[in-house]
Amino acid sequence: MQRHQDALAAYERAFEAKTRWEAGRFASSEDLDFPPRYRVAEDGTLATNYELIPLPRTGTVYTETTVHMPVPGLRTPYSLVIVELDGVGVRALVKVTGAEPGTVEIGDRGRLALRRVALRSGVPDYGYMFEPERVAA
Amino acid sequence: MRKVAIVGAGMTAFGEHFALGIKDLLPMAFAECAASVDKGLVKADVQGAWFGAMGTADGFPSGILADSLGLPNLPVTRVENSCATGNDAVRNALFGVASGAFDVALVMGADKLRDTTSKDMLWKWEAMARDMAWDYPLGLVSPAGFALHVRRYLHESPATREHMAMVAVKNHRHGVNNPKARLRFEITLEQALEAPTIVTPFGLYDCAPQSDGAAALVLAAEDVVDRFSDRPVWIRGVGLGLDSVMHQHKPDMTTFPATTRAAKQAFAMAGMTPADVDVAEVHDFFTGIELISYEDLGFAERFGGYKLVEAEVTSVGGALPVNPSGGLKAKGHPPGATGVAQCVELFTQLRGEAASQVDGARVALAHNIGGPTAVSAVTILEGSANGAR
Repeated sequence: MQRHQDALAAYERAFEAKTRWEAGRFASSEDLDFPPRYRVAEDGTLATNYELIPLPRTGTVYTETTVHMPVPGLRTPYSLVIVELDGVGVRALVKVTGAEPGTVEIGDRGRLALRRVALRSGVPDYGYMFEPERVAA
Repeated sequence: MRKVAIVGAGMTAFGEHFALGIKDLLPMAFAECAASVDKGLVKADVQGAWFGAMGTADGFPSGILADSLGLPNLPVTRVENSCATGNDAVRNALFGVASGAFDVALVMGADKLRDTTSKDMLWKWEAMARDMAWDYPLGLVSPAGFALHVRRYLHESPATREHMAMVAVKNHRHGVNNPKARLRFEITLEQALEAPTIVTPFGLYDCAPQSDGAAALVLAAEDVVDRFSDRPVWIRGVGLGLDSVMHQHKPDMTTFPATTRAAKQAFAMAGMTPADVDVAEVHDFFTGIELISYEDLGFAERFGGYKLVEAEVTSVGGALPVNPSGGLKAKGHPPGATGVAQCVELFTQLRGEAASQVDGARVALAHNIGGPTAVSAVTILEGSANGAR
């Protein structure tokens, strides 16, 4: 999509964590930041030296919506979910794959699968999508 | 800080103003506002202006305001704070006057959403409103961001889509009397429930229409208020609250912390509680947002928002009418103008001059939430019955 041209730098910055499904963690904390981020301490000092930690690839749907309105460049309907990843206190907003739009419910279990999310100026944009364990009837 | 009052208020109708540009809408709203000042206003009275505009229709917004009003010496600050833009412009102007820097300030809000086709306009704004690498390629359009909250809210609370439809029916009914509203017709519960789906769980009538429009207020310090009016409307409290931008970072999506933060500041500044409020204009960009906001603003207990619509508490004639103007739902939503227009409605309510008048209204509250759901502004107003200052 032409309108993605200006986003390629942002895409590059996010590439590692996004395609490897990893969060940031600082040595001083157990907290996972997803996406990874710099932090500013109470005394104002900057911390940038997080390490990337693999995230679980299974989780439970916290909330869902299915988009029916026309969206330029995307085929509707499609479903978006916020997934609570197993055991790490991290949630992720992802698209649903491998199921009819509108069939995934809050509480459904599934796995995160690497997919091509979009094409940006002809460049494939890879990311993870939620694939429910069982396709609803 | 000095006390500050609203002494004039006016707005254009909200709608599809294909024949009118922003340079037309601004002077129209200003002139209506100036005409509402009881003892008269001349342009030279205005010492500073705060202009809420989300978009940049026809060029640099601050300059457009000064040009179109013919006030080349007027210092104008543009405010852009997503859907909270309008009430944040009020807040900044209040500080300008309360501080003593100005005695008289102009607040305006305007946006022109219907000049481009709506789908292109929407997408251009989407690109400004979310993380480009993580969220944008997913197609997280603005209604979807709100829908993620409301879907979870319906899951955890007793509220249903019927309660959302009741909000739509109520606000459409209120909007019929408002000559400034865009959708001046009543709908039935069945119409709302059977309308085409936009973004689950929102049907067509759960959504506010994108619109063009402008609104204006004149603020005056207590020292000079008598020059303009014996019936000013006092700004008692303002608040601005933020929250995480990415939806996955919001631990509880059944509430908007931005609103609770803004409301806490505004009520503390006013020395009031939610029980003091007689009438409110609440950000019903989507019907479910009005239900959640009842709770965040302290009008209902947690997960009790549905009871207010079931008992018609928030209808005109009820104990706490919400959106007597028709709300965003019926009036329309040019984001920069929306919060200012809420205060225009409440100015008329607190002076007993509203189209759908709430009997004996003394204290009023205006509320915006946007970002989406990452910023909220709350303004609390009080009328001057019994000579209150």
